[in-house]
Amino acid sequence: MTETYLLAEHIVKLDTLHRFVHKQCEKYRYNGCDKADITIKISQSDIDCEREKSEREDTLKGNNVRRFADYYLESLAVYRKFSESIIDDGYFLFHGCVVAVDGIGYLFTAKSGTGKTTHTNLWLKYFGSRAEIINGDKPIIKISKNISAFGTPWCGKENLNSNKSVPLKAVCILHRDAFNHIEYISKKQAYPLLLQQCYRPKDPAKMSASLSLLDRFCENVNIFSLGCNTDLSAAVTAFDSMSN
Amino acid sequence: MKLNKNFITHNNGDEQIIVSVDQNFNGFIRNNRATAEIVELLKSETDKESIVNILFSEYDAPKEIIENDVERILKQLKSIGAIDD
Repeated sequence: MTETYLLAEHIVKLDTLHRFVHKQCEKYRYNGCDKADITIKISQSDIDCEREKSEREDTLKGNNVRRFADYYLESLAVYRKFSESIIDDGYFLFHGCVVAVDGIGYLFTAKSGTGKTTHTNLWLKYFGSRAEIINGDKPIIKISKNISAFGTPWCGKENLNSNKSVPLKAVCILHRDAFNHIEYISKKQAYPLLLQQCYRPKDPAKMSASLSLLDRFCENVNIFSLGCNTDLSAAVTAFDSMSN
Repeated sequence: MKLNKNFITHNNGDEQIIVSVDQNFNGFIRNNRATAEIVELLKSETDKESIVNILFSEYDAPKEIIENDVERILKQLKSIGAIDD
């Protein structure tokens, strides 16, 4: 099955074995006439590679090995190929949630399970129609004169994404705390987690390129550490510092 | 011995780091100046003795201390699969 989409400013032609990824990408469909920038063709061996990777990661972490359907693994394979093919253009995949207020993006990142979604839901509740989630889990970050974040169909289990991009004002490393507090932190302090949250390509040259993009990212956005609870005031604490 | 091709070095402005593109090591290593220099030497085929001699000519420290440090660092790098013997 073949369809064309516009993802993070790239016209992407997807040639897949299953329908699922096309359903996922529906609102990103490209109806123009221009030639695709990227063509992604998935074979069964790509799907099998994703299965092996997932099982190896579960084993390494000491978790029960999860079994995923081919259609789901195919979607991961598409996103992996897409992410790797745009690195040289200055785009990279980052694990985090981008929420926008009045069209300006704020990126929250943390280890899985910390509460990124819980916190960004507070922003939606507090700011109402002024706020929206651009990508709930895996935004694409573009490094150029300015830093911007893109919605994509790959956005975590809550499926929160918008087919748009926003300039990124700040990034925040989130952790739970009894009371709300936010501090500016240096690149050196933030680097271990930011590196961990950055997608790691298997190709060494692309990995080097990603690291260079991460450096430019760190140098061009303010980085904060937020300790927060689940009160609505946590959103106010974060926004007041991150928006200045 | 030589740095494994799956391990790449990167200077992020603050420090040299080593990351792996191999899934078996998901972390990264922050290198101090001496470790960074050892890793640079490991980008070409070398051995422990050559590394010790080069560092001994550059650092004002007893050779025995340099030998111990090099051995410790090489052992750490080997433990994560970063060195091919």
